[in-house]
Amino acid sequence: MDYEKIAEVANNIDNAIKDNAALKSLIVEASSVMLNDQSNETRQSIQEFLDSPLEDKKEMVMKKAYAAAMVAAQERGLLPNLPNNSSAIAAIVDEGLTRVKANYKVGIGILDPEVAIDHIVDHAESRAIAYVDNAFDSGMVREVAAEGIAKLAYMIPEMGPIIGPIAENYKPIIKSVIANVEEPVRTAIKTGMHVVATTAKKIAHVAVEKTKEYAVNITKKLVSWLT
Amino acid sequence: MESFDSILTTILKSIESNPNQDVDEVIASKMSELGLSADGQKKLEETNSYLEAFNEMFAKLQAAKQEGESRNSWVQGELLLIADKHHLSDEQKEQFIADVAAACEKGLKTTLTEGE
Repeated sequence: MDYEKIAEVANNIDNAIKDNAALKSLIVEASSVMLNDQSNETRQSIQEFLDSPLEDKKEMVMKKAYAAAMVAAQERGLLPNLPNNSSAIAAIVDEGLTRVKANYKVGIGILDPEVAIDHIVDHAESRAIAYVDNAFDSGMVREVAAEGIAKLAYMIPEMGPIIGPIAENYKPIIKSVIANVEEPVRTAIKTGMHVVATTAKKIAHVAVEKTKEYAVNITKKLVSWLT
Repeated sequence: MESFDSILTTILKSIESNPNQDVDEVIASKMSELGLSADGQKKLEETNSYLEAFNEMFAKLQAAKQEGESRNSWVQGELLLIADKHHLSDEQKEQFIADVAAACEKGLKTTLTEGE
């Protein structure tokens, strides 16, 4: 074997890489993907997201990054259980990131668990209204007035995953945030998650009853308009 | 090995390296480099539209709460606005609100009991 020749070729490749910034960056990036290396920048971005106030404007950047990663991962078969429709994916990203941030803040003691739950429910109900509004505007139920209420009922089963995505679907988001932060932050998220989940189970009955109440109230109101 | 996390890292690095560029453009360019199909690109655009719509509606709810309105009252108001905008009959309106409320009840049960 001509070791001198091999060394010369290796040296030439090394020099080519050193001289070519784009190639170097591509190789670093490819290694990062292959070795599953979470960079300092990633850790920093996620930590900044967790530390920023609830509803900070930069949250949308993180949501879009996660949405892109989910769509790309789904296309590669890496998230086989992820729903295929865009509204459900958006709901999963919204729910996952909202939860993990609220849980972290509860875990470090700066957010009351009931306030965190109220915040999570606000997100859920906002998604419901945005989804219904979009369903009408986009034509999914455009013919509703002409075709009657049966057409509208068709849209309703689709709303479940928008309001309350199942935990299995947003867990990859929470796991990925946990994987990208330092140990004390990880512990805070897990503590917060436990406290919020326990409190939520306690108050679930009340919250659901309140939702039922508004349906009854609005029906009464409509009946009084009709009579 | 490629994973959801490794893809996310690649995207976040890209955003960090281009702080002055529009985030949608940075992500679109990275997705193209990663070989996302045309269908995938379309799905991502739709997903982002939903994210923005959710965000906009959340901001409206927060503004209403700041004014002292309750969440349930805001939801009722928004549903009636949608119903009126699309000229639902009174019968349809009643059915619509009952159906949405039932869906919300089911969804909230999931969201409140599956958090851990």
